[in-house]
Amino acid sequence: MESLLPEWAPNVHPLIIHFPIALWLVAVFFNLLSLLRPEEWIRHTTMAMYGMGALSAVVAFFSGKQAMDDVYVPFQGEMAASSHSDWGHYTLYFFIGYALLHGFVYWKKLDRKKIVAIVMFVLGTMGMGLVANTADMGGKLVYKHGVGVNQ
Amino acid sequence: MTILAALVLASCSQGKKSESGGHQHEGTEAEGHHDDAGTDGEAHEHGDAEEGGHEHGDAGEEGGHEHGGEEANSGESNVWTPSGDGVEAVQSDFHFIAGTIDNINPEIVEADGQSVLKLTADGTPAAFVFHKSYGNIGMAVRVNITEFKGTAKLVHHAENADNYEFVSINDGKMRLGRVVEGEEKIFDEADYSADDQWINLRASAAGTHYKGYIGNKMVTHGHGDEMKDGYVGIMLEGTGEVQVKSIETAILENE
Repeated sequence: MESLLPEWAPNVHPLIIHFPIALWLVAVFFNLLSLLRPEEWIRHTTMAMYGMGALSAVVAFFSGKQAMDDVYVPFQGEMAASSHSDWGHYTLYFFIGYALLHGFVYWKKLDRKKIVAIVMFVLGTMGMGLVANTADMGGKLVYKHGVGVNQ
Repeated sequence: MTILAALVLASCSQGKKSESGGHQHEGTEAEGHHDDAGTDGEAHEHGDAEEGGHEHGDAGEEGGHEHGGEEANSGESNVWTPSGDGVEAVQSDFHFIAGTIDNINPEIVEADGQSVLKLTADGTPAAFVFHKSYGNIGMAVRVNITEFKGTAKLVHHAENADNYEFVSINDGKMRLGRVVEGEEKIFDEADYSADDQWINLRASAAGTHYKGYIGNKMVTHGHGDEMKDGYVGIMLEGTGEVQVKSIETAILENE
């Protein structure tokens, strides 16, 4: 696996981590769109995006776990590393839980009720908050503490 | 809802923590990449700390060490290096939570043109710790244990000999864990190798994350509940000679 990495990359985590962020953001966008225009293809796309967002979060989580054990973290970056790891856990659990819930709602077509659709959208938006917190800590690790840079 | 409640609690627990203190050894900032020789050659200075850890009690100020004038901010690292008389250096800057000074017979010797604290352990477990207690903490000790038979531990969150966290090394194996009411619990253990007789043994306790490093390489990583603030220092369980060039401590700041 490491031989497939670009020479500048310390591990695969920075290559993967943007997928759950982008996919979840797009999912929330389509979720909003489905509230405004309740068309089937938008509904399907929303479900697909949330599902792929959760799957990519699983991959990002395990790549991050492996990366954290490989990189050198200076003392002053240890709290950011811990917080990044903790928020990564919360985000993963939320994404999986939400994707399963959304899948159930989608399967049972419960999201055709306006109130259910709105609640699911609000919950999906909260996932963006979690991933933003995780990304904020990850950004600090790299750009403030230089973790994973030039190792 | 349970998840949301947990997230709110986690968020609330990340408030800023600062400590005000008195005298402290001022050394190099721990930021950046250390190599195995990372802390060699640091001067032994004590600075008036505006914030940050307080490693000296009043007794420490009466020790035979030079006192510098730089101020240490919370979050910076501080390096203790030995100088003067061995017994005096240990007695002034540390206190014992296990054993006594007679169990380690401290001397200051020269090694590689630098003052080194030489400890000769007699087999009675002995632990000496800085006077100040800490919460989230990083600790790095430049140490030579090639002539020591037994377990050398970096201890932190130490209340007494029966309650502390540790990273230990013994015969190429590192263990990371805690002792609560005398009961040892191991979070992680792994083999390590060191090319040099001097190794930079490093431990960090950040929230519920505990790590042990040799130089830049993380060897052990475990998780456990946060313990109460406690002392940091060195514990020896074995016989033979241990040499210490420096002890670096860094208060870990919430981000």
